[in-house]
Amino acid sequence: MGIRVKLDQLLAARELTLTELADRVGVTIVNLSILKTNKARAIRFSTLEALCRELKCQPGDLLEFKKE
Amino acid sequence: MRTIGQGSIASLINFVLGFVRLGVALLLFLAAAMTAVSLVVRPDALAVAVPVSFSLDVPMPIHVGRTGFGFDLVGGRDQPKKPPTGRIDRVEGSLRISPDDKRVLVANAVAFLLVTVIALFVIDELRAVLKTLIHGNPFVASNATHIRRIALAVIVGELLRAAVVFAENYYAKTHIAIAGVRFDAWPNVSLFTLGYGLIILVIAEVFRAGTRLDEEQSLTI
Repeated sequence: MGIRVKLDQLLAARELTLTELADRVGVTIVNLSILKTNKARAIRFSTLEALCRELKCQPGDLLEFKKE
Repeated sequence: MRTIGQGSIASLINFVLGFVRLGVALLLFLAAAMTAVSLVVRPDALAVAVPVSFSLDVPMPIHVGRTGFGFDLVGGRDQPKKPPTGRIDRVEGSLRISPDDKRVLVANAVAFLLVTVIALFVIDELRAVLKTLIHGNPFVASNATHIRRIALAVIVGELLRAAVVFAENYYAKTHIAIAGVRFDAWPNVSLFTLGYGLIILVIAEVFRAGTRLDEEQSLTI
């Protein structure tokens, strides 16, 4: 996939676990795991907003485009 | 009554198809045995039913009577003055014969075998689809494939049926003579059945699209 989610890097930088973030954002660990492993097909604006709020970042910090 | 899930119509159909499958499997066994026997037995030792289509050379006037309700209005207003007549024009049926050629016997047995194989195949594919419906999730990737296979089996089965009937009609036309009877042999493909097959093919694609949408939905976080 061309778009990659840099969730693992942000979690490491914020010293947060996936479980903690899932609780804060209100998304299940399974779904966050799908996002983290780049298996997700799409991301809702509401999820993106919640992630940016909790990780104190911009959408651009969370997503990156890589040529395959 | 629910259409999908446990104890639903899908579950009932699956249950009934289980018995039908057993019957068709027995027929398949019988067809295989018949095919084996047809290879070794003398052709005139067995009788086969050959599908025929024929017309009568000699016109046979018939009277079209009123089936009515057990009584007729004699001299009534609706009573026709002269009963209409008709004639037997084209009849379709089967003729039981002891063929002189072993190939007829073998071809009949093989045709029966193929029909049972196709029927069993369709039942198995249908049951595979029904099982996913019973589990409450019709949009699984394999369903589109199963439905597509059913559609192709319906189309191929119909073409095969038409080919077998045509071949046997042709055999009757060229090998059997009955005074006053003229056998016909025309390719008689049922456009309705082919249409059903094509409709099922479209439904398979709808399922494929539905499965894709369902997958996208479940992978949207």
